[in-house]
Amino acid sequence: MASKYIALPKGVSEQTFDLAVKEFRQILGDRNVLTEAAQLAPYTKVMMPVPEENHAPSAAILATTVEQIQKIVGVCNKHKIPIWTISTGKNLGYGSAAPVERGQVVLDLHRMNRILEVDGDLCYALVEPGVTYRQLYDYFQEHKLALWLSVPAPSAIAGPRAIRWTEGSGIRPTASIF
Amino acid sequence: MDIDRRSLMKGMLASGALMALGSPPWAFANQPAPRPGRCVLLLNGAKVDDSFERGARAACGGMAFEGLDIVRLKDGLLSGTQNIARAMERSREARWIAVMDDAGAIIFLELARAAGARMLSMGMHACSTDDAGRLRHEIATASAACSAGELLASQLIRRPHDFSVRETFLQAPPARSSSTGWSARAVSSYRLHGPDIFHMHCAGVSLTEGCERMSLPAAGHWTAIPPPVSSRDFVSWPADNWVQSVGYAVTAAALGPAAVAESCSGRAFIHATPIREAQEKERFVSFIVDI
Repeated sequence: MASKYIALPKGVSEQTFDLAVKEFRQILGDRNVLTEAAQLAPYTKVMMPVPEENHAPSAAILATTVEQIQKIVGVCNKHKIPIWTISTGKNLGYGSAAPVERGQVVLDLHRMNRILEVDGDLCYALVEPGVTYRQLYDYFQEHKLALWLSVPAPSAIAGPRAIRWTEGSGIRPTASIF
Repeated sequence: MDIDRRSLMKGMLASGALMALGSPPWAFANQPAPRPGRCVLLLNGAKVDDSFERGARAACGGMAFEGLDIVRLKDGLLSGTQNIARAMERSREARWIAVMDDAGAIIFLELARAAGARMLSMGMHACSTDDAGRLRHEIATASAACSAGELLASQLIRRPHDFSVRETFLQAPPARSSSTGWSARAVSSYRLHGPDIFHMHCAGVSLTEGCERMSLPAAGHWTAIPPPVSSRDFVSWPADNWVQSVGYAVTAAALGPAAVAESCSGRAFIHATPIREAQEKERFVSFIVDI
């Protein structure tokens, strides 16, 4: 209860976690490493009938480049700290942005939101994880692409990356997405 | 308002009570407090909006706060996410109080997180739809300086409400004084010992009944907490209904007077009364967020 963190990773001491946080800050800067209760509170809502403290993260870290992610994973591997990765974190009804286990570090990628490539003929898009359906829709409109998005229930604020990753289904005859 | 802050303080000064009891947490205007310069009240178009707003305005008036902006969503949050996201971008350095239905609350929380907001408090407020008409409030508090639990309980206990207020601290507040009980009248306070210390304040119910209502182990290691040495006299306001009381307490907490005096990871305030008022059967979610 006296810890300065709202939760700690399972089996990791506060001293070890201090070292990891220090290294996270060196990689990402102070502003992108969240450890205060008020900063982490929006990462605890699970929308399930279980105590939300069971899903309290120890920290949330906001990366913007692949190189940063590689370094963060290295730090976590060194200190044996479990990561919970989110793209937009809008998996509403299935845990949202909260980690599956108390004390995990949330690696939040919502600031990686560039649309890298969209092929209107082959119907694929190469996007960073933080791209939302709204962004992609706007891109289609702007570039006059005859493509149709099958948007899941969380709507325009969610992102396509994790939906595809988790084999989410869309409302189409084939139930496939995009 | 039946007691205003100034007359309360004058009276306490005149009687020497401040010296004897110690100053209440929001006694002096120049006391460092996280009071925002600007506050936005976001109303989601729910039935409770008007009552909540009335309570919020009363709190601002009682605390001489004039920086409250009110934003009403005509079509609810679900169809106006872009507008709110833009408003959050424009309202940096502001404290937001939001009132949402269950669905809107999730969207608001997601937008706030994306905007890098600091969530100070989130409360779920409901009146049961059965005949008991019991009020239940579940508050998650991230900032000890913006705790609405005791304020709300002190407000609700003025009327024949049957209620429970459960407040969970994401981080246990530091002990500010030896006073850990609730200063309302006829209240018995108890501490549950263990890895997560929990306080329960019961009025009109026994410890066993309180445990049953809060789903806590009655057989746990409970000890009585002596009544507080100093009285925490919160300024209160005669609300017409319980939603107004919530609006008043949440706004007062957002304006920063409600630092927690207890050191625990959670606490509950329970009040039972044989005579009950008919209650509006409503449920909603409140937020205090720094954008």
